[in-house]
Amino acid sequence: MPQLLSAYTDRYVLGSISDEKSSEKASSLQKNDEIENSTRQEQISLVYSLDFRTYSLDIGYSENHNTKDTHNNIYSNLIDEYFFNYISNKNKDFIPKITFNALQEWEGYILEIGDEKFTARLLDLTADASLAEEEAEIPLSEISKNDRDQIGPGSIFRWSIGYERSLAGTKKRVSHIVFRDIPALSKLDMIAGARWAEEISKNIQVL
Amino acid sequence: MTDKSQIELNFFGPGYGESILIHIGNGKWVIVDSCINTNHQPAALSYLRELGLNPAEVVRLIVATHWHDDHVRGISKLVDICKQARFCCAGVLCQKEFLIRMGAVANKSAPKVGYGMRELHQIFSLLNQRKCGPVNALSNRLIYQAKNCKIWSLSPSDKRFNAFLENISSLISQDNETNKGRRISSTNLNKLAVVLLIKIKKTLILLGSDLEKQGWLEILDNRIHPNGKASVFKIPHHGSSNAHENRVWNEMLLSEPVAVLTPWKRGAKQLPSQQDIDRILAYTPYAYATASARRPMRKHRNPSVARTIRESGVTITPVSLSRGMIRLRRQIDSQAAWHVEKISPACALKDF
Repeated sequence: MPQLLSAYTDRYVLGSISDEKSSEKASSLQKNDEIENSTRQEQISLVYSLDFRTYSLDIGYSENHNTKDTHNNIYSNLIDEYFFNYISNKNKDFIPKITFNALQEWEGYILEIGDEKFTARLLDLTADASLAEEEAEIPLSEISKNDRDQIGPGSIFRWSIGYERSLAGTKKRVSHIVFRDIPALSKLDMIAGARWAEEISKNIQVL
Repeated sequence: MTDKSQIELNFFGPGYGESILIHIGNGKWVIVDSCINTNHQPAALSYLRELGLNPAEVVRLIVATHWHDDHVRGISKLVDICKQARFCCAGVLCQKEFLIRMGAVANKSAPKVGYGMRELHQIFSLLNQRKCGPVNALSNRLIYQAKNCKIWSLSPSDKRFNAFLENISSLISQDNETNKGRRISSTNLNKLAVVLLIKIKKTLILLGSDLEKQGWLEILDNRIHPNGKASVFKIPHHGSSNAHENRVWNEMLLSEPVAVLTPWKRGAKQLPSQQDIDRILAYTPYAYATASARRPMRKHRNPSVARTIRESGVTITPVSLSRGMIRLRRQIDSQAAWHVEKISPACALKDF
């Protein structure tokens, strides 16, 4: 659990008191700002370390996206409320919660991208049937510009539709499309691949 | 029940994917590509079992013409069960760098939709256990021979083979920043498609896979396979104009052959188009489709989900699977017209 190391008018500095090198790992967090890309990722990882488990889905979303303003505000509000409670010593166990209740989830991959829409093959995760497939035409306006620049045929995503309840208790229907940022093949992966290919080549003529 | 002295061709195309099951005589069967049926089983496997046959004993060859999802669904299960069958695929898939990357991808945890490599990885692992490698398909290569039957692969050409080797890194480009997280089978592999020419006694059958026009020209200009014209044609690439070459109809097929295609749909696009149908029917009146153009019923959804989908401007269509198939039969020694059966929703192409 991270602790507040110091507080300024414009930022909080966090670290872990159980970690002697906490100051080295301390992270700087801007208040209520419109954080872009790498800074946002830092912010979100901090939110994650605060154990807002109910937000795990959106954390995945935000790692890959230019998060929409609404999400920025939510994260900022969460952090503000957390530190308000922490600094004022009102309730150190307070963990603010925003809940997301998924009504429908799909995993999909892009088949083709057009000028205004992309076509995707979807696997219905809610139906829990590994072969319940659908095909969708989704307006490109449903995804962020950053994603639009990076996706292509074969890109894998998760699409969730559900209700989100804010800190203020407001309930709203939301739709999230989250592209998976699959890590590059590591050296270990390549070693495992080479080992497998070597094994295969004992009995299969490799060209 | 199939007569052992009868040629039988079954074209499965349940609306997504295609598979061809061929009785080559003497109780031996060949499977070209794989798709799943309404029971989510490989269509060819279910059919053989319905006939009371044991696929492990009767299937002698399984061919994967190319590595697109709609041609390889369930094919590793076929290879697993059909233990007497040789497996054949484009030789380029046995290239070392490709195999290393395939093994590396298999080492990673995959999303539910997979990376499109699982079937191929499983097949190579199975073949390795059996100590029996795949038959590599190349242009003008005899890939199978039995009593009364020979099968040649007519593609991919050396040119396509070399082009694939040059571009192999981009095919599984998990380590490429611009392509990370993409599925291998979503790339265009049609240029590597394996076209098959099957000769059973005097009968020739041409199976066009998804080969596009340039590939056909390479086949036509480098022909050393047997002379003669085919009486059955699996129309390439769902009847698309990009796979059409007039010379194929004139030089490789008998006049008015039996022609079969499997339909394809992606979003608002559908193959064959009306233009494709008109073009094909100008060559032969005996043209058939394994499924109709009828759109599947929309799914019933939670009203809130349906409203969100509507408001987002998204359109969703279920990928429907049907039992549609076209069956052709005639005696091995006969040159009579093929006996054609359409199992609904398969239809004559003019009624598509």
